[in-house]
Amino acid sequence: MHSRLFTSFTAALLVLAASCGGGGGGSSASPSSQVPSAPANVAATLHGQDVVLTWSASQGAASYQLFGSDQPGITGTPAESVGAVQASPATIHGIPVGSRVYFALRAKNGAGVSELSDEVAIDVVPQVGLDPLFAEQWHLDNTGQHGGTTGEDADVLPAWNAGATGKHVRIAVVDDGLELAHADLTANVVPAKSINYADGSNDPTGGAHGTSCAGVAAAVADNQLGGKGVAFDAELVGYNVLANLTTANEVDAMTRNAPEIAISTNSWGPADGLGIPQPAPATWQQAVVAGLDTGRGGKGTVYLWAAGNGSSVQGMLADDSNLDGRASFFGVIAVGAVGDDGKKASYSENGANLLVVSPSMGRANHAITTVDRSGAAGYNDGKKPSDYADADFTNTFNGTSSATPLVAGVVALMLEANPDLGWRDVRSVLAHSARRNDPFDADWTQNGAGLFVNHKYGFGVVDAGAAVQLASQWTNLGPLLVVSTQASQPGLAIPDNDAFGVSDSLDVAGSGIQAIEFVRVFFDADDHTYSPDLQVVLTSPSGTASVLADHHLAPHGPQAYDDLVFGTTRLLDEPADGTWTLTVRDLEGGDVGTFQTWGLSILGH
Amino acid sequence: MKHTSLALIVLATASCSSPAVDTARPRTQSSLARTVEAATDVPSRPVKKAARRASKDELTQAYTYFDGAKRRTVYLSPELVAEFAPSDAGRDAVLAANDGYAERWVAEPTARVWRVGRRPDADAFARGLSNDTSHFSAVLHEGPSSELPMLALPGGVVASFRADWTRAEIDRWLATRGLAVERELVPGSNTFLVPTEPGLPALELANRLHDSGELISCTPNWWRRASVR
Repeated sequence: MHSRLFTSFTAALLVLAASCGGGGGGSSASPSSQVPSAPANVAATLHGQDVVLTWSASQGAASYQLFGSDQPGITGTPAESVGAVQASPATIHGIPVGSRVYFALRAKNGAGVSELSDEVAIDVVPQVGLDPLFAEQWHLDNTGQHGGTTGEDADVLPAWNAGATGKHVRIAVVDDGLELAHADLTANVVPAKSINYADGSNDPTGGAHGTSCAGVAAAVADNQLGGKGVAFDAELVGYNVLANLTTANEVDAMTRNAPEIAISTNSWGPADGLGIPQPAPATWQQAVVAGLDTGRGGKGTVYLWAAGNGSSVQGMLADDSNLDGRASFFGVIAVGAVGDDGKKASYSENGANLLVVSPSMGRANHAITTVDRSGAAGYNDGKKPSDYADADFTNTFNGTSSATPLVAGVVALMLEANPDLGWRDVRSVLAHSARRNDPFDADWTQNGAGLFVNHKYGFGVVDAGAAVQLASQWTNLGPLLVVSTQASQPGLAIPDNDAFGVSDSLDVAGSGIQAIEFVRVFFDADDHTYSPDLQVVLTSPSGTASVLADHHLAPHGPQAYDDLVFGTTRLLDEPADGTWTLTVRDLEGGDVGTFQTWGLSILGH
Repeated sequence: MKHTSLALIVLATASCSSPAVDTARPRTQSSLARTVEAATDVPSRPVKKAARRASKDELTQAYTYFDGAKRRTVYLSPELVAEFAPSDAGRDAVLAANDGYAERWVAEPTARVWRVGRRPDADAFARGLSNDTSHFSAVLHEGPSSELPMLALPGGVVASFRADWTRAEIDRWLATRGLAVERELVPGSNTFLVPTEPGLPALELANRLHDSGELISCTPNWWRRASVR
């Protein structure tokens, strides 16, 4: 009877991963002359449509053989073999939905093979609910629909299956509006807590962009409408600051009802593609700091910021996200975008300030499926062949605009799993749980703490399942330390069109910071007559380079690098003490200037 | 010395030319409805000389203001005016003052920007258009090119007072200058919106209050345009 084991899907069963820690007793065990005991406490859980097997380590085991079947009574024949791993857990992929499957395993070492463990059974039930457009939402579950790469998504199913849906977590969508009565949003909208900055009312209905952002983060699930939001049970409020973007309103939007706001998602900023520094107003910075201090009951509102879409203008490198003073501020999490193949979205800006990226750019006519303004008011006007028949939904949303509320939704899942996370903890959890995408990209490097980081991707694609799991077991970081250096004034002439450039160093000692969280770099070269010629690179004591500004195009003319503040996340968990070096290179001829001053402010614990 | 302490730096006087003869047809700028097209090209290194082009309308009238402790420079547009709380009366005022011609350059729910032709007195011209419903301001740019981001002054300054000042002390300090708080902006931070008339008087007041040395900072309540991403 067991010859029929897995007859329909044996070939699809793959052991995808097994951790090297946690379970212990695996490859690190010393050689043993005794056959190990059978694995105990075997358990199977469903993560999306994957089965995750866990067990207690067997003393002396060097590896484990996994066996599976669609029939009970596993005997451990070769036909039942699923694969081998060195330690618990193991993830098994590709089991048809609707199956009941059975698993058992044996421990193995040089002395022999143990008895079979107890058998466990699990039903692989559908997890997708009743949302007719969910199958189109490749950013949530990329099955290769429309030509994308299977698995290049935000990995939300394991988070949902672990019970995280965003309950009691409030997200402020700061944008051009929020259609409060949209059928796929209204159940999550908090009454009377939104603001319309155009008329002072509590109804910011009117913006297609903000409405679509809200849908990405927290569209209602299982209501037979559209798709799902990442955090489909989260609470939504809308602040349409773009309808009347004044200094005062911007401050208000960052701090409004801050004690109740867990997440502020911001898919906007200065015009992209100009290639000029656009500093964050001091009043805005003050407001964000107030939100970090007082938001979410004192644990800090988590600010998500779109990294920007100005990567390329006229086919040339233009904006770096670090030139946007809001996206590079230490109090926000800058989010870039990748496509359904896991590679950089063409528009997404590079930046040492990026923390993570998320899926955004789909194939033609299949970008992000989300909520749209009801009827013909939004992106879906029914005129495009690919428009959904239901005009309340669109499949054209994209940009770092879309990537950002996706991460906001993931943060909502994390905060439901662990409401005690501070805003700094959220940043660290996101970085530590991100998936290293596009692994052959040449920009990946390991920082001094062993973390892989990339100017295109930050720490990688946001991974909801891993983030929720890590959040649930996270110990909050120690008190924040901030160490600022004296300003150095090298006054060095920057050689024109010279790849070697000039450098200056600063020493930091006795900071007490063992693990950096963020570094702010103050830089001035305001007499340079064409700042886009400059490449500015910070090298940490651990040797990690952060490109803070690169040689680029400024299509409407340059703006001086006048007391700029750059940010870098790339040094996460490195120690602060040691020699820091800033190198300035002029990479195109015809203009000159001086590396005047610089300094550091290092945040960590 | 890197920064001048002068609030107003008139680098040159813009020439007075005939008003642009534009139709009243609006220019479509639907940035809020924009989506980003996918592209496959990998950005290459820029070729500055090919891209660099002299701005055809270098702006010359510079003003400075304080952004926190940092002094920043903005440049007056000689041909744009901003209308806040847009109304038919506002449109009629623009057309009447500009020989019946104006081009609507920006149309947002709470603001319109009109292109009215070059004027040496753009701020005074703008403020002269204000009426019972609409308020007008000069338009400024963040650099000496009209293609750089624009700002305008709908009225008001944002003033941050020292933490040890009580609200009563703040109210008294403002009252002696003929000013009052409109609303607190960041609860508990002693940062307030103080109403003023629109246009450059708001910038000038912000500079005067900042230069008093008694505030932590004071900045104009700018109106800006932002892009969705």
